[in-house]
Amino acid sequence: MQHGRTNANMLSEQELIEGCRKGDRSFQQALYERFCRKMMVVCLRYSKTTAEAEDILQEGFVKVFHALKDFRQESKLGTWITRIMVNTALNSQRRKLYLYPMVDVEKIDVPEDEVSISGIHFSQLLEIIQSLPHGCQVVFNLFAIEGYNHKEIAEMLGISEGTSKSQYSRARSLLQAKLMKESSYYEKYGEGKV
Amino acid sequence: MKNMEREKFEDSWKDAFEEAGIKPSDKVWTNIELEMERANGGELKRRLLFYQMLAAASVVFAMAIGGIGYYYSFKNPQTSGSTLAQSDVSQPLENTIAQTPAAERQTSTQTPAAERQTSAQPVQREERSQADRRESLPSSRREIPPTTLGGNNVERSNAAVASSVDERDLPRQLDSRELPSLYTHREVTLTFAKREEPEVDPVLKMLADLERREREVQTREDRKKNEDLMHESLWTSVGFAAGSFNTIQAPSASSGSSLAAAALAGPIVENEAKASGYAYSMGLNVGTRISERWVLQGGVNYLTQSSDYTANSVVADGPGFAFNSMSNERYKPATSNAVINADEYELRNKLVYSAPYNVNNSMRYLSIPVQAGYLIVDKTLGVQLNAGVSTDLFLENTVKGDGDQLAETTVARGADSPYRAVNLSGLMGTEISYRLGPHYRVSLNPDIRYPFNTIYKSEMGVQSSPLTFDVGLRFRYIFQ
Repeated sequence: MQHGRTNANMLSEQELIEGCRKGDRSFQQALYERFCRKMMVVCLRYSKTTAEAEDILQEGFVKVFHALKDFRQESKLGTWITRIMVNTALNSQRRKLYLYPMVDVEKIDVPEDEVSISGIHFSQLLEIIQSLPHGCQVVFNLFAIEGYNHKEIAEMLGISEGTSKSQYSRARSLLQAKLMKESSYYEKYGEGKV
Repeated sequence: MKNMEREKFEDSWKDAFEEAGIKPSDKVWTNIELEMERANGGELKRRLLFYQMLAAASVVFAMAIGGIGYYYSFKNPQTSGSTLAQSDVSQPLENTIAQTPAAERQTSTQTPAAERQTSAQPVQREERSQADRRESLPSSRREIPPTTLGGNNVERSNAAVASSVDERDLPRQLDSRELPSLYTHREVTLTFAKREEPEVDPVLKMLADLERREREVQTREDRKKNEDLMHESLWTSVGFAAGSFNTIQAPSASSGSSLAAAALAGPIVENEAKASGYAYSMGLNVGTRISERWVLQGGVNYLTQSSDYTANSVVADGPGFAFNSMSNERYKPATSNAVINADEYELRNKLVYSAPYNVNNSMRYLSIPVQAGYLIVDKTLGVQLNAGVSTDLFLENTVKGDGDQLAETTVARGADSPYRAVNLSGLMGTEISYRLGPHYRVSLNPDIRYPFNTIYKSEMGVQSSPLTFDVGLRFRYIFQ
């Protein structure tokens, strides 16, 4: 491979984009190698299993390579790819969201004392996110990590703003409960679990 | 303040995943490559088709040119020869043959226009072409005597021509020119083009490889899908079965405490124990797959065994003299080892012999089967062998005579019942099923049931183990 694993990091984003636009497979692989790890985490955040995440990752990168010719470079390449991955994940999860429709939940009291997640390894956090119900998982990801507001989330998912808020509250409540459990575990057994 | 806390919470999550990375498996990139190739395949194939067409056209063109060349290089000399012969016969060549070298040279230096006007024009042209050919031949060829060259050699001397040729010899000599001997000595070597292995187009090879890989992936996916569809891991079924049973163990009188009862019951019990009849069952079952081919099934069934036999006595019971069939009263077993105790004495007093009449006895059980099954065929059509045991809990039995004056009597399990409360039976059967959809399967179940012990209590003094054969129809709902 001309620009394989070793040279992938030496190429600039512009070079990668140009090479990929020409359809050069080695540049495409270099681009994949550069972003696949980060994007895998994005896909895992929106899915329940690794296999599901890999399917999203695969579909997402194919879209990236096809859409690169239209990439106007108004944002960073990584941000643009993340957006494609999130959209692909949402398309993939939409069917499940229809199966488990999101509804407004009763008022949820989020504990005042938030449990800090500092010091917890991201893989542990990933597991906690994956354990959330489908609707909560998607809304939490979009709001807390991707930074969308509830109005945007409501439009993206075809739900009401209120539903988005209630799902997010529920997600926070569930996360807090799980984190509490985790922190009590740490207090008892230390950091060894992570 | 609260909003700030919330933002802090979200930021902490965002930060936690900022630098996070997990390596996906290698197959992801392989699949991406495959997808990209598939997408590019169409365009590449169109381009390839154009080049293939171009190559084919080139080959056709080259073959056409080659064919024309071959035609002119090999066919023309012969046609020229025949033309020459025809020309020679029709036209006297005296002038030409008698030409002086000077005249000949003059002829050879004639302009094309003048040549066309010469009467021996074809001959001269032929002579020139042959002379040219001789120039290219080895020198030994050029030394061939003039006679062998016929009249074609224009360079021969006038004297030789004058001495050897006269007008009468001309036709013969011209005839010999029809097949010039020069050609007979011509060494014709046929060179066959070496057969070369066709060079494989790398793009075609790559496309073929990709196509093969795609087919493999597709086949694997189809198989997986099919397996997912066919792989049933948990199901429940409702069904009913009907069949018949035969008692294969003859009743025999027992010893001890049951002697009195047996003696009292006598031929009636014997008839009942021997009786054959019909069996019906219905129930609910659940099953699970424990390995690729083995399944475990269990459930609850309500089982009825109904038989008819003949009795010849009745029991006059109560103040109204309601008659019970003999079969009912003899259910009361002896309470001691005495040959005749008080109850039996009373019973004997009530006993009234009658004309033979028909008695129907229905026994009802709650059956709890547990079976292991082996899947011989696990497709849309399924064939399964089952074997296991069933715990049969006796519920009650009802005896009814066919006369109007005979009361129907039901005896539940307990001390008054002649039947054992719990029986253990062996089960063996086949299940032939057909899958109707992702969640449904219907099956036909021929089964054999055989109790490991007699169904009567030991004190009854009779033994009976009905062998039941039934065919069931079950509707299965597959959970997953």
